[in-house]
Amino acid sequence: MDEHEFDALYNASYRRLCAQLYAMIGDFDEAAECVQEAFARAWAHRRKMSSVDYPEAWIRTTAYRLAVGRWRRKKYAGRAADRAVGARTEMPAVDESHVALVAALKQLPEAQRQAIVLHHIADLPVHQVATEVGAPTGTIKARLARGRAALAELLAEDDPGAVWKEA
Amino acid sequence: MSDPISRLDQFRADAPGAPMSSAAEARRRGDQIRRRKRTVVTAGAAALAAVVAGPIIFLSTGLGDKAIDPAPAPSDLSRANLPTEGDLVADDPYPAWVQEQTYDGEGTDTYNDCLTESLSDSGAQAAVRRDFVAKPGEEMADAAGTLNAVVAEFGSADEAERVRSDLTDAAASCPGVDGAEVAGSLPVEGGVISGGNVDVVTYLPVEPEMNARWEVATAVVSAEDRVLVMTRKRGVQDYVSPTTLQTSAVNAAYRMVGATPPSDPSADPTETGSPAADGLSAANLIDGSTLPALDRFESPLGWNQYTPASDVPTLACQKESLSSLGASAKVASDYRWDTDSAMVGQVHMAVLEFPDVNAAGAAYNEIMEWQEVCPANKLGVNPEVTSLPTDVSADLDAGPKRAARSQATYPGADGNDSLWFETELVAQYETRLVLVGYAEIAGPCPPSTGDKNDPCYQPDQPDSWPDRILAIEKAAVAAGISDLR
Repeated sequence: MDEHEFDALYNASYRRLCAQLYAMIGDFDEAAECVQEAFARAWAHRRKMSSVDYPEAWIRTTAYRLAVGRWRRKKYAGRAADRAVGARTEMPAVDESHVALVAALKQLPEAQRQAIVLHHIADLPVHQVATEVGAPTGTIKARLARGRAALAELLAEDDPGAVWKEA
Repeated sequence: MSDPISRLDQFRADAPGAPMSSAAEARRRGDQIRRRKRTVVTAGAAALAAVVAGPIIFLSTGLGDKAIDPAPAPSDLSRANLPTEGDLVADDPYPAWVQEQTYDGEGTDTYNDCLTESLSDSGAQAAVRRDFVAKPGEEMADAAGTLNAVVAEFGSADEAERVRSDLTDAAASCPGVDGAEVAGSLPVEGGVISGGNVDVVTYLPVEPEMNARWEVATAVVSAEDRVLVMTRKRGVQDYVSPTTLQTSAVNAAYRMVGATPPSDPSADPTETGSPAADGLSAANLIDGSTLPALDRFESPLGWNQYTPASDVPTLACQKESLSSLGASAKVASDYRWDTDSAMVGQVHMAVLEFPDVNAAGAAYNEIMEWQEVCPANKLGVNPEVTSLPTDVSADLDAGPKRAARSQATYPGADGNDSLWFETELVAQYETRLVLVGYAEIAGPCPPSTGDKNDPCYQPDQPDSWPDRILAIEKAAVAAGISDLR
């Protein structure tokens, strides 16, 4: 992967990946920092990236792992979250309805949340979600169905008049 | 509106992401990561003084502004990527291999009778070659035959793997020779290697006075975007399994990608794990029956002691063999937890005895540096530090003067999303160090800790991981210093 290809990938997918990671972990600032760091690691391993079929998926997975690792490090080690990222960026306010959605997502079991984010927000077909999380497609479909149902209930708590049923 | 799909669609459409940072900034940071790994490898003694601050210093001194692009160009293959005499294992009773000639390119003469297509024909962008002969003048030198190694670079790892597969088929079927018969085959695997095989064929010589058959043993190995073809040809009476060529090919594969070949165990007596001098014995090693079960996985054998391959380090982040630390004695043991289909847990333990407390302290600092920066690539997998070393001496309540625990991850061997989550410990008590590398397979999330606020909380998993880590570490440290307390 050369500089031009990297920049094109970055410009095309940075914001999208930030949104996806935000939906997965529920922390806007942390998501942005982890995506930026994941891109840095992709550049550091750019020779290997040339043979990666889906660089965006690689970066998303790396960013997610970084986010989980940083969360754990802060929680258990009591040390600075990361020495790696650059200057902190001022983050814009996030739409209120999105905050509610992310809060609801955060209450789902991790596997369901990951399937929903990858399918509905990252817009991956079910078989690609299955590949990315290393689970059979049937399992992914079940996680999606259960996750959507649980999400509907959680969102309904915010909006008691609304009813939604899985098709 | 509580329809989750509409809400999710809207979320996707809005893409509420952070303001765009610059790609150039990510590239600068990526270059910094590469440089840090390289810098640490050569930092030597100076790194000892910067155990914790070191990487921060590297990041803050502005080295990045003047560094050159560290990415290897497509044609960065050089003679340094060829095996050396020290990488080759002699075939008893024949003498050691010595270099005869080194070429840029594949050379003009045939180096393998079986292959009908050159590496250049196969699309190689660059190639280098080195020929070896048995040390002239030594007994049996004339009968040892020849050995040569050709290393070629391709446009991608996929292309290299495709060429390796084609060449392996050719080496096994040997279309270049009439009447060739398959004699045997061995895999070449581990470490940096993507795939590899040694295939041996024999055929009748054209020379009527020769009372033996020709044997051509061809090792074809791929690693990253490169392919190694190593060929040994000699006259034989009987087939002997090519284990020496197999070991030589593994070493050559490391050299091919610019890595240091695995240590020769015979050259490093402290790496053997057998009982050593200076008071260390099997009593200083963990008793497998006391290890806590890895309860996420059913295992017919439970924790099973085994001898890992020579290139498996005690700690995944270990930069060099433990003998480099200057210990006067070492004992080690290794356990694995297998399901019916795969290894899912590993415990590696080593106890090192040093001549004095200062030497032990210096080694402790060196190991902390490994934990901090993880400069190792002994497993060929580039482990990533996920938790920096923290002081856990109080947790161990076994009396070590100090103890540091870190965590790292590296990919599982299944090529999917599995990861090894390794906890690495070094503990010092007087002149002794105890090292523990404990790894469990999981992924993409770590094993559950039971914390419901954890983004990776998995309610269907037992929450025994943290307790298991601590129990293994306590047992290892207690055994490691049992004779000192």
